[in-house]
Amino acid sequence: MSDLKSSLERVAEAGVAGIALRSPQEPRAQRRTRARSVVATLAGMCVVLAAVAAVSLAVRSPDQRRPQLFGQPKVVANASYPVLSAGMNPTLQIGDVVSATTQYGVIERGDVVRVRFPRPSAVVKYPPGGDAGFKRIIAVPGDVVEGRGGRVLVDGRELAEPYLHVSTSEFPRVIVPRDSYFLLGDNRPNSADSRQWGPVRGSEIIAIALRITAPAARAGPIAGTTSLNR
Amino acid sequence: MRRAGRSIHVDGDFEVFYRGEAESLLRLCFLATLNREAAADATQEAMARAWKRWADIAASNPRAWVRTVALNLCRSRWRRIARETRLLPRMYTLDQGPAVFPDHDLHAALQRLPPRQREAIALRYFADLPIAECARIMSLSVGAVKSHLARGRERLGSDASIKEEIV
Repeated sequence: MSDLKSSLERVAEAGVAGIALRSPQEPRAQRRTRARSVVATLAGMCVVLAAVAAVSLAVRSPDQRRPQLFGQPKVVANASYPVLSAGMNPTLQIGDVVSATTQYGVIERGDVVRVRFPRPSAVVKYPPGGDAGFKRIIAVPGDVVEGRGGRVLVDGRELAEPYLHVSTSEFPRVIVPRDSYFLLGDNRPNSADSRQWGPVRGSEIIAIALRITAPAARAGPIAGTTSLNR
Repeated sequence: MRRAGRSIHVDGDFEVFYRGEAESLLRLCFLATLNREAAADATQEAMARAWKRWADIAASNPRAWVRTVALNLCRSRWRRIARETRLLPRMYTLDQGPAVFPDHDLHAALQRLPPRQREAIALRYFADLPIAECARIMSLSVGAVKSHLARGRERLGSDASIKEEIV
């Protein structure tokens, strides 16, 4: 029978090899370690979240063209269009070549955009230059826009338009719907725009104009930003 | 402080008890289950429970107490594992320890035993307990333990290679 015992002992010995038991008196020290590691984990997560937030701000902001966390926005021009109509005179003139980006995020008041013109009808004719062209964003979704006294009023306040040398014809008050924009050409007396079309859906906006690239004499950033006077 | 109200002396006793018993309890559990993980879990848990109520059990027979608790845990664990093994054969790989045992035949023979017979054999022939003590730990009658032992011995004995060992 002692043979069986020693055999059993050998089997047990081999079976439990490598198992490390912990005394129940140890857990308290262990719990402290765990608490510390929980704190460390949380701190680590905060750091990671902050890093992710910073990176996403840095990465997203070029598109969104919002106040930057790091440096200036970098917008990549990925399109180029000739100007074929005088509707944006004097900002854009016939013969100019304009670089633009289709990778835009937020469209803001004052942006010059490339827009598909509404389908012509009995009343509305395509302006010169075909079915698309450049116009300026005058009002964004939710704005109440109105032409009165030669000025544009947005939400009842006068829109400052330093790029403009002419007055704007009167047009009735419009509430810009969701995902739509109110567009005007800078050449107010001679531009087909939202005064005729009404607000244009965001899906019709192709690109945001960035610079004039040709001819060399006119190359440079596109003039003008807007602000609302108090 | 969880240990407030408990004297250092008693804690010291547990320490001594733990050092003396943990390893052999682990082996007993392993022989009863032939499962490293189950044996380690049952041993840890039984020892933790013993430490928690050391004041109550220290005076009586803490050794028998932890054996009873650990083997109860092994049994319920074994039942659970047996069920899982039946139901989810592909989801579990039971850790059977080293692939090759020095007494491979005995290990294999033990594996073929029903758990109660294996437990009885482990208590009687490995832990060297009298049959009455085995009966108490297994919550069985002396007669039932004797019958488990006899059948277990018989089955182990039918394995020719270890016949001489248990004569």
